[in-house]
Amino acid sequence: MKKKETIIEVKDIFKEYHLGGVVVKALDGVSFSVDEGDFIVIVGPSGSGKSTLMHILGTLDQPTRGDVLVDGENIKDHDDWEMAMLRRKKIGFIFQSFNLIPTLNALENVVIPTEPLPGDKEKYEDRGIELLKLVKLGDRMLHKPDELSGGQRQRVSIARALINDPEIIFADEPTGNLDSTTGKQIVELMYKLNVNENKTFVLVTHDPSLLEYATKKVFILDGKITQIEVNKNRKRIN
Amino acid sequence: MIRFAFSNLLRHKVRTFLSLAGVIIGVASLIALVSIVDGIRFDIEEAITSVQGVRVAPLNSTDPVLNYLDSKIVEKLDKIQGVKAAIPLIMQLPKTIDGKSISYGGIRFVGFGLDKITNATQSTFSGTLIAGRDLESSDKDRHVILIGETLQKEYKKSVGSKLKINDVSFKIIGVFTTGSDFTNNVIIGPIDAVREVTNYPKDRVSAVNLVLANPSQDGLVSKRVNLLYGSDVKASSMSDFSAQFGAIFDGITLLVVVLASIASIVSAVGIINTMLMSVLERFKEIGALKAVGWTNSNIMGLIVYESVFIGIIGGILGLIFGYFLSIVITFFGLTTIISFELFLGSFMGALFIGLIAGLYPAFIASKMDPIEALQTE
Repeated sequence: MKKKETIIEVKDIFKEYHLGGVVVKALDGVSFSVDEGDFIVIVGPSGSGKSTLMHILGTLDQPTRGDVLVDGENIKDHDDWEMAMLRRKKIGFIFQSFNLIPTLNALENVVIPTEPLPGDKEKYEDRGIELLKLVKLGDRMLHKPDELSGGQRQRVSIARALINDPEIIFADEPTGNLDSTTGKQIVELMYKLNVNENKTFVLVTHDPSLLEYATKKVFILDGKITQIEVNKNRKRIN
Repeated sequence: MIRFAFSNLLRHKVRTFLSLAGVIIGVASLIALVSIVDGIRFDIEEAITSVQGVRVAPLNSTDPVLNYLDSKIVEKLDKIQGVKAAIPLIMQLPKTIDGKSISYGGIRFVGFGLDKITNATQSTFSGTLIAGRDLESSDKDRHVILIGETLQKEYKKSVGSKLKINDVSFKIIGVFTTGSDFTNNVIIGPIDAVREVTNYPKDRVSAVNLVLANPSQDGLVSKRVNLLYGSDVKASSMSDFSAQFGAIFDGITLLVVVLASIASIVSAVGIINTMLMSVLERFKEIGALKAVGWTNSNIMGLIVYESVFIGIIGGILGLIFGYFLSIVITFFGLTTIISFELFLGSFMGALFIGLIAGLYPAFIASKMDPIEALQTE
C-alpha cells in the first residue's frame, strides 16, 4: 500500500495570549500531523485550545513558537497574502454558524470563494451546481439562506468548502448549531465525502459522539494533546 | 464581485438611500448653482460686448441713470486723438409706458446725440436690427424710437406702432436685438426728445460714448481721456469692463466651489458612516470570506466597489435632478447654462468622493483579524 502524503504538520507549537498582564497558553507544545484521506476528530472541552489548534492548522493564525508545514513547506514567514493564497488553493472551512452571506442564494454562496479568481465564471458555476447536487441540494440552489433549514445551510457551506477542490477541509463544531438528527446527517455527509471522494477532514468538536466516524481520534486538554488514537473500529455507513 | 457589492448595498435600502441622498443633493445643487452663475455671466458678457468703444462717465459713478456730466465735455472729448466721434447720451428710467407706471428698473430709456452718426445701432452699441430701420441724423428732432426685442414682445408692438413714454407718444421705427436680456429691454431715441420727456437738465449728459477711429485702440484712448480729464471723469474701455466683471464672477464661482466642497465633505462623511456601519455589521461575514481565501485586497476591493457605487449612482441621479432643477430655475426668468464640463466634473467629483470615502472603511475591513471576526457572535 502506498504511503499516505502528509498535508499539514505542526511541530511543537505554542500559542500564547497576553490577557491583562497574564500569559495564557492556548497551546502548550503540540505536535501533530494530518495525512491525505484522514478523517480526524479533535475532541476537547471549551477552552482546551482545540479551536486555536484548528485556526493554526487552517493557516488562519500563526503560532507564537513552533513550525507549521503545509505540503512540507514551512509557513513561518508567510504574510497575510501568502496565507490567503494557501487557504484559497488547499483549504476549505466549515463553521458552526455557517457564515453564509444572507443576500446571496445557495449557488452564489457556494461559488463566493472563486469570486476574486480570474477565468470563466461559468466553469465555477457548473462546479457549484455539481457540488450542490452532491450535497443533495439540487432543488434548493436559488434559495437564500433564510429560506433554508439549518441542516441545508450547513450543506451549502460544505459545498462552499469544496468549491476550490481543497486538499483538506476544516470543520469547527459543524454540528454545534444543529439538532442531533440533522447533526448526524451532516457528519455522515462529510464521512461519505471522505470515503467516496477521498476528501481529508479535520473536525473540531466537544461532542464525543462524532468520534466513531474518525480515522484518528485526538483528545486535547489545557493546550496539550493528551491522546492520539487510530480508530480501528471506524463506523461503516452504506 | 460587482454584483456581490451591489447586492450588499441593497441589504439596508434606507441606509443606502440616505447616503445616496447626500451625494444627490450635493451634485444637484452644485449643478444648479454653477448653471445660474454661468448663465448670469453669459448674459453680462453679452451685454458688455454689445457696447463698443470707450465710455466716459463721471468719476465715482455707480449707475448711469444717476449721472450728471457737464455737456461741455463732449466737445473736448471729440478733439482727442483717436476719437472719431464723441456721442453724448442720456440714460433714464421711463416713468410710464403706455400709461402704466413702470414698477421695476429693468427698462432704460436712452437718448443718443445723432449729429455725428449715420446709424445708432452700429456706432453706439452693437445691436442688430431685426425689423424696421435705424436711427439716423435726420431723426434728431423727431419723436421716433428703436426698441429692444424683449420690449417688442412684452408690449406686442411692431414697426410703425406708437409707444407712449411718460405720456408722450413715440413712433417705433425699428426693433433690435443684442442677444442679451440686459440690453434687450432698452428704448433708444434722439437725445433731445429723451431730454424733453424725462426733464433732464439741458446742459448735462449721463455719459459720453467715444466712437474710435481704430476700435482696437480702446485702451489707449481711455488712457488719454483719463490723463487729460481724470479729475472730472473716468473713461473705461469695454475690455476694462470685461476684466472687472470677470474678476467678480471668478469670485462668485469660487464661492460656489467652496459651497460644493462643503457639500462634498458632508456627503463623503455620510458615505464613510454608512460603509463603516456596514463593515462592522459584516465582521463575521468578512472573516468567513478571508477564511475561504479572499485576500486583504479582495476585501478592500469589495468595500471600495460598494462606496464607489454610491458615488456613481448618486452622481447620475444628482446630474438628472440638477438638470431638472436648472430648467425649473429658468421658469423664474434666470438664464442657466449647463456646460459639458460641469456635467462631467460633477460626475467625476461624485465618483471620486465615493472612492475616497470608501478607502478608510475598506482599510478597516481588510486589516481585520479573521479569527477575531469569526469569533464575534
